[in-house]
Amino acid sequence: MMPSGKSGATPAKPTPEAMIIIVDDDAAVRESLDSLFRSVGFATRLHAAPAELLAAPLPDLPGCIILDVRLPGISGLDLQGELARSGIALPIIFMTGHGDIPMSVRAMKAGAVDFLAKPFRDQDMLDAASVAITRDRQRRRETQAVDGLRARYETLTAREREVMVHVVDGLMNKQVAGRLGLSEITVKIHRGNAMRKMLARSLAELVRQAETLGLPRP
Amino acid sequence: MQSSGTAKDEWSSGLRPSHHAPRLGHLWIPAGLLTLAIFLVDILTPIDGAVAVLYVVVVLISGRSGRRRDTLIAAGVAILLTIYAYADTHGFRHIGSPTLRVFVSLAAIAIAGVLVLQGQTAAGALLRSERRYRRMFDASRIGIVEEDWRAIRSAVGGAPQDRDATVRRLRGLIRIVDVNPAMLVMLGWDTAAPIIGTAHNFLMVSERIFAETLDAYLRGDAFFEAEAEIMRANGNTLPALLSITFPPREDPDGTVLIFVVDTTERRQAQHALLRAQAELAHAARTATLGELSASIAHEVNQPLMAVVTSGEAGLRWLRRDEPDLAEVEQSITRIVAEGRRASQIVARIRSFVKKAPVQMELLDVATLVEDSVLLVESELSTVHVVLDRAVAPGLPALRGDRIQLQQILVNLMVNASQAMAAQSAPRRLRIAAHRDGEDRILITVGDTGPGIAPEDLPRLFEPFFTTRQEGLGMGLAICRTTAEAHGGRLAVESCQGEGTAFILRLPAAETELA
Repeated sequence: MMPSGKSGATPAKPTPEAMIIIVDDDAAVRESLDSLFRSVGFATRLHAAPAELLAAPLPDLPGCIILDVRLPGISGLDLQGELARSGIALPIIFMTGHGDIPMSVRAMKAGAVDFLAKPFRDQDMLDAASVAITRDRQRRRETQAVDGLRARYETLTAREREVMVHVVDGLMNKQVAGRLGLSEITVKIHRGNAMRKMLARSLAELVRQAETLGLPRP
Repeated sequence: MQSSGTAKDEWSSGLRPSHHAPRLGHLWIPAGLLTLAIFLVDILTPIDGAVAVLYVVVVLISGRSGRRRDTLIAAGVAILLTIYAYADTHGFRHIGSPTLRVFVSLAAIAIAGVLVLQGQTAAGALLRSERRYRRMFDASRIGIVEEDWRAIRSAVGGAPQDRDATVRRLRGLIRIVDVNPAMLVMLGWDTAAPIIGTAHNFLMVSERIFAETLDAYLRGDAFFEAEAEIMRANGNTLPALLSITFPPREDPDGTVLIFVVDTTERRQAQHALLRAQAELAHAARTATLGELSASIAHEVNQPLMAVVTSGEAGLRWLRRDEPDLAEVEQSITRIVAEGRRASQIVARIRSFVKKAPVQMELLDVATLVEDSVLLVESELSTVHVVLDRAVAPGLPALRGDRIQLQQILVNLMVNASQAMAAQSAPRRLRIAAHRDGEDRILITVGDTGPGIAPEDLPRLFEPFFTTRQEGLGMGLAICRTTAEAHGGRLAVESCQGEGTAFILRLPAAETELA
């Protein structure tokens, strides 16, 4: 996704590293934030209303959302909940004209990165944004790891999964064979295949992977 | 005599002596002498005639005193003396022509007495009536001018060519007959003498009011009322209410009475009331802004934030190894625009709470609606009210105080948004303006709130009536007063469960916007 605004403004960055999504109903506020982030090399995307944000596809980039608490049609806090429900896990930085403590507590509890009172110092905003992006990058890495694991798990046959479940539950090959009505040698082969496909170097690692994937107990 | 004593008492009791009641002392002497002379002639001279008839003269003289008792005494004395003289001269045994003569005399005296008494009764009533009216005229605190307009009636005839000239000419034909003391005080004249008998028609300062009065007079109206400025002796003017009564057409007496009430105090009271209303309206505006303070803070903060952030961004563009001047220019342009915007917002709010005297001016309805919406737009958006505007194009202008009319609309819109605050149903606010007939403009503010309870409707516009816990209950009362001060009306229609609409009807200004 290309950053909005002047594309020539962010030189030497054909694919941006991060994307800042700015949601504010005030055009001047949006544009000034846009200019600020672009001046330090971020890509930006601007939305005037929450509905626009929800409708547009999200970029496959680490990033964060900068949100005014008070937005037309829906409050920023409600939008935060809405985003969480739709599985959008981008970190949120709130801006407010009249930050009151209960509101900021609520926002922070719901996972906001920061809560800045307008007008804020540019450095505060940029710091908050880099914290958010780091956090998002981390989250993405974790998600990616789980995603890879899941993809590998998908390649197991039904029998291999069955064997894996019992093995990680702590059963011996013999016991597994007895439970599944297989020969011990067959169990051994399935177990070897599962560990190879899962890239598990030890039984302990296979157990951790099963936990990460949240596999059911036999 | 005892009569003179009572007369003195009467005078000292406060009534002014009048030329209608001559002093009795002047009458008793000639009357007594005349009675004595008639009696002596009657009894001593052998004249064959009804000498006693001359007592009639005494009775008539006694009548001039204006007192019934005097006449009764005079007639009684005359009758007794006549009978005594007859008895003394002729005796009672012989009945003849002297007897006839004495009866004629007695009858004449009696008839004269009765006539004098009747006359006195009538004159007395007239006198009392005259005194009563004189007292009203003199003691009244209302200024009264008596004018003779007979010359006008005879001068009017045929179709007048130049109305203004005719009016001026006719005005010169009026003669002032009398002016009461209250009127003199009002006018600042020491005495009525200089104006009595002149055409100094000081009451009608403006020709227009005189012309209207003249029209009423010529139409045959019984009276005419007008508010006018009257000219005082020192050249100042005085606001007054004139009530002019015309004589009936068939009345040959062309006296026109003008009653004048000084309305200075009333006008001052009206001004004081207007001032008090303005103070109250100002307090209510301040309170309204207080309720909107959160949205106002947000509204002012937006451009300020844009200014600060644009400035910081601009600096960053400038401090790059390769400064991006195009971006810097954009940032500065935004700073300038947003700085202006912030100052406009502040100016708008300041003008709304400014304590300014009422200023009636021609107002464009669309602008009025727009300015009011600007004040509440941010608040409406915060509480998620969707605003719908429908101002018909080409509406005639209004004449009114911009801030006060804005206050009505702001108040109605804030009320509507508060009414909808608790509901999950769609919150829609509609402000619409259109023409109502030829000369009225209708502005409605409608919401989709829960509506107003029927039992609350009649009291809705009463001061201190409120359904909100924190409300003062002055808003709608002030709105209605303001609407009425502008010659308009503020009404409400509400349907429970469907919403409420406030309907503001205002007269269109006669002159179009330039």
